[in-house]
Amino acid sequence: MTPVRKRLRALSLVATLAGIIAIALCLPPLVVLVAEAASAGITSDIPPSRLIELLVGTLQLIIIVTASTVLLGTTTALLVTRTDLSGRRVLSLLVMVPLALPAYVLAIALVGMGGGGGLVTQFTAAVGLEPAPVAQGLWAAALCLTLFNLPIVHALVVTALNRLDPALEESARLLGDPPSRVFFRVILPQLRTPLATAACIVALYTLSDFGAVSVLRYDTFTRAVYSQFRGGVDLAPAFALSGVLISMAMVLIVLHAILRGRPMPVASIARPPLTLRLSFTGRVAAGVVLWAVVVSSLVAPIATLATWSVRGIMSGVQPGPIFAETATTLQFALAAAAVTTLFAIPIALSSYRGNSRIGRLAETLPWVTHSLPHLAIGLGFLVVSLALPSVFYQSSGMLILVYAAIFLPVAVGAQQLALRQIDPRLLEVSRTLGHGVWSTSIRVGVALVWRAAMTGALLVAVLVSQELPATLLLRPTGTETLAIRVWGAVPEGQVTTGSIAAILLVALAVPLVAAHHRATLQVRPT
Amino acid sequence: MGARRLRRLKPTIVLIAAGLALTGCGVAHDSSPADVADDSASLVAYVGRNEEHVRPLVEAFEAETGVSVDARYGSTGELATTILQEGEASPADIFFAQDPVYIGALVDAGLLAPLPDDIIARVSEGISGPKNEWVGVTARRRVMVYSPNNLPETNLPKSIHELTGPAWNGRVGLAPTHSSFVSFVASMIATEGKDGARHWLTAIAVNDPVRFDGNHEIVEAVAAGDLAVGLVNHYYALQMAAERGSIDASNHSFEPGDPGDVLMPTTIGILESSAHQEVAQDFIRFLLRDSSQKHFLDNVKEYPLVEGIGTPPGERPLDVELIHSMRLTEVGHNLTLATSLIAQAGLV
Repeated sequence: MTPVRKRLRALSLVATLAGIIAIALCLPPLVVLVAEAASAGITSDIPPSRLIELLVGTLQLIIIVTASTVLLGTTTALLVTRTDLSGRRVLSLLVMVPLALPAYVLAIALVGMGGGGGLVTQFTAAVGLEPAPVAQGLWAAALCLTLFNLPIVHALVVTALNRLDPALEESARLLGDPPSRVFFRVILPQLRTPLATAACIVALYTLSDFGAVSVLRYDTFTRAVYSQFRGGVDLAPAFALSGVLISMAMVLIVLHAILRGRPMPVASIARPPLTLRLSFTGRVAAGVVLWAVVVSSLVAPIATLATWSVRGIMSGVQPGPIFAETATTLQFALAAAAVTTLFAIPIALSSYRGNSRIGRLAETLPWVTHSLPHLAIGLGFLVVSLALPSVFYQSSGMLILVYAAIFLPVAVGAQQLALRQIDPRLLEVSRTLGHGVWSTSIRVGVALVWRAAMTGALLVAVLVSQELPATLLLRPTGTETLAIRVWGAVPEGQVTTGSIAAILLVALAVPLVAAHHRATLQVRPT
Repeated sequence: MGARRLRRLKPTIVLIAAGLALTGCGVAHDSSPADVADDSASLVAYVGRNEEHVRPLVEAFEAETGVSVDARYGSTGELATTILQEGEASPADIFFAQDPVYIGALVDAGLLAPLPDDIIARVSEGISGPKNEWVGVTARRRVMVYSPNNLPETNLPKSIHELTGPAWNGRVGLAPTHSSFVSFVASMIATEGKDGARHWLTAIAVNDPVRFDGNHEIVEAVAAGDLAVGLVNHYYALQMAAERGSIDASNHSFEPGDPGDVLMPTTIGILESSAHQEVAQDFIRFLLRDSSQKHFLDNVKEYPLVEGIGTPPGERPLDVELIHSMRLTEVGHNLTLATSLIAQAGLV
């Protein structure tokens, strides 16, 4: 066989493997969801007026959260990349730290602050003010999800701003444009794609969020799906509502897919742009904005959770077996990260070199599963696992496979990023030195990609440790995780237990995120 | 190459190895109980009750018998749904529910095995399924929680029907997807008819109630002054008062004969498909022992259903007739209707 044919065969082998993994892992829940939703039809007892109420409520939340995160995230990103504000690097990092806090952790912190029993009320009562409002309903959900999504938008816009060609902005300024005009005429038009992408991600997350809206008692479609599952004993209404939820999500997913295809701005020479010198007032205002974000998304939630935890422990509250739950959470996170990373390798490889149909399918399918609301995917997998031999049902192995199906694109994305940066000449050199296809892949590919794969694995581990809806539906009997503990504590009125579990969950994520951050810094070309 | 490369690769290898080991262990560990050769060694219990109150008893049973019990804690509705989906293949041996309605759905599906007479005889007569498919363990009364500091008792309603009036607009807390509310509606259907229940639900739904997921958070909200009143079970306020010395939340009872004044049994049954009938029966016997019943009285503040154990503080002595007035055999068939009516009223 000629080397070329040998190489093609190896590639098609990898692509086939990728296709098998993607189809076996990610297709079944989608098929179940579509089939069940179609057969359930409109069997829901929910009256049309209530459906419209849910629809309006969901859209309201999406619009508010998307608009506020995009505005706020662009502002914070501009402040840390385009001004001479002192301490901007540290502030930028602090704005991104809440990436380690899942939305329902922020939600339980808000619950611990507001209302007659909340920490904020204790301050306001001390100075004779009205009690703080109860953290519930639209404003609370909007605040919580804005704080949660802000770091994502900030990070995306900072990355985009760093990639813009600074020469354009500088020319505009040299020609006498004031900073606001430079922003609107030069920067903003170039940010269109990244901002639209960010808006899509935020909207999709808001639609899918289950934990935070449950804790804060705001009715969206996702919460209604769960209420149907919990209250009734027939799954059909839950699937009927899932059908609506999925249709809404698909609109955003398609939009996101279109945007992903568009080229992002990349400067030929990346160099830091000239920064804007802030006046004294500007400096104060910028400082206030950034610190307000850091305090409300990071300092206040953590302080609230810590206060509730310490108080509870002092007063002898038994938080339950939270250390065993921490160990379980960590085990699932690491096992799922390893499995997901292994599954991701062929998918990343096939999308790197091959351009086969099956390779593209292997990349797209997991991305759709990942993007759909995890509660719906969890319901789909519940039906799938019931149909499988009984050893799969409610087993750790099944749950890990479900995590892999949900978080595969995270691992694939990290590996692809590194693969794209491989200089093809290295592969050619290896081959001319007499190494075969496999030897070359391992010697060059693995050596260059392993760090990125590790980064992806860590990110998967964090996401798995914080995953709530699928865990809730599919966890093995007798195993509880920290996420379940936080979520379950609120209806029981156990803010203390919830806070302790939330603190542990965040503590678990911090070293993983830190390691991830270090790894991404090293991967980035200088 | 060599040592340096290897050192850099080490974390990856460790991570992957650890992952594989854990997955392997996990799968092996979770093989379903049916496959376990030693028949007496393990039980799977689906517990639709507060974990905090049941876990001590599960652990005591494990310590005494050497049987290991894997308990899946969750809401009663969620677990009943799960068992109905699982059907004959359910890994569960036991279902411990908060009420007679969700377990009634399992009876209707033919999934529960009859319990032996000695178990049924432990509790007051008739607190069991139509063919002894389940037995009552404890009972809880439906009440309205209010804050004595904010609302004088004289202004409180005598009937749940008053709560649909303008005076209570936006002031009533409910947990419409919680099994105890669903059971109360099922009982209302039995006593007031389908249309009576529908009428009340529709009227309360348009009176802007505050919807919660659980009863405990309703009582917390009332005690914190965030909510005027809430429809809950009697023991939450008693537990909180016992834990904290005093709280600003008390129970108000509706007039006798009002659909809001119900005494509901918690229930337990064994799945027909269970391969561990005898051990499962022992577990139920354990829950009906005097010492376990006393745990429910002292720590949960529920009514023990075994006679002579005692009465929760401030509650009337156990009135078995009040339990029967919810028509236990009838409510068991009302689940689907109750959840439909709740959804149709727009409360989900």
